[in-house]
Amino acid sequence: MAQQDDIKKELEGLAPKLASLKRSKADAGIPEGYFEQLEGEISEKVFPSVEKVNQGRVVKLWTYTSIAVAACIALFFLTRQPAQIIEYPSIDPLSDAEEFMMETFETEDLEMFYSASLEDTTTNIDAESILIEENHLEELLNI
Amino acid sequence: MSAGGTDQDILELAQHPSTEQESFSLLYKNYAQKLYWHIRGMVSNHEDTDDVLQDVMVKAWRGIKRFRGESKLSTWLYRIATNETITFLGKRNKRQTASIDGDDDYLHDTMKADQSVDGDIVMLKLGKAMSGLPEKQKLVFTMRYFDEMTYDEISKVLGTSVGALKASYHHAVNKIEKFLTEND
Repeated sequence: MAQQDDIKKELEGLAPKLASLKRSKADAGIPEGYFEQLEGEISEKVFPSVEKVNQGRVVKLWTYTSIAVAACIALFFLTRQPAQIIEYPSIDPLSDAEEFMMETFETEDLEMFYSASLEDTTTNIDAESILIEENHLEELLNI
Repeated sequence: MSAGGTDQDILELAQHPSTEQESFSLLYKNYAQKLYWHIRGMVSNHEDTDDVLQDVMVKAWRGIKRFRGESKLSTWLYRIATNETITFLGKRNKRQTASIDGDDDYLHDTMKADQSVDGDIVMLKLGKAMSGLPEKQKLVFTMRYFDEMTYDEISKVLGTSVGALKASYHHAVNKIEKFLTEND
């Protein structure tokens, strides 16, 4: 209050006409309820509502998920190559073996292989050993 | 001390997320109207004042947690408001392609537009008188005459010596007085 008095006194001394003016702020083109409404507007700017923040988060989450899925699909198709089929050369084992044998061995050799295959060398040895064993048995029995 | 709470209350409540809305509400109730008239004294019309005030309040709130209390909260707020207003006026002056005193005409025209049919003729005259003042004198006059601030407070906001402020104010008052006498 003392401050206002000082200002008023100073003004009266400097400019009596100006000091006599009634300072009016009532009619200054301010819409009714302006200050009440403005508080809400500024408050919305500095405190975005929780709902809006959550909405924003959900939208962001969906966007990022969609982008990630699309990227995966694109990556799959871009990097995809035709399946590798391993083709083994066709072999006819029987005919090749025959061909090999025909080229490699002479007719005598074949005959030799053939007769060798018929000859049972082990049988004689076994028979002899069996005979020996039988004789030996006889000897034992005689005793 | 303000009816809604002290500056200390505002600063303390602003530090906690659970009470920061209360802090903002106190800040707004204690200072929005004062800052409005401070800005209005410089930019003259309601629409421009509204734009600047919104920017000032948002900036002040975003910076309040970093406010270290080296000056009074009111001084800091008026400084923000003054800087924002000067920046706004600079932009507005650039936009205007009228004559050198185009801004003065604009100031007077917008004040006239803001008056209703039964508007205060005296305030209109005062507005016209103020429109002829240099920017610095207009600012000092607004802070002393409308905001009723002491020279010391104005000095802290504007960073100018009290002596220089007194000189600016006296020049402004004499020019307005002369205008009012001549147009009586």
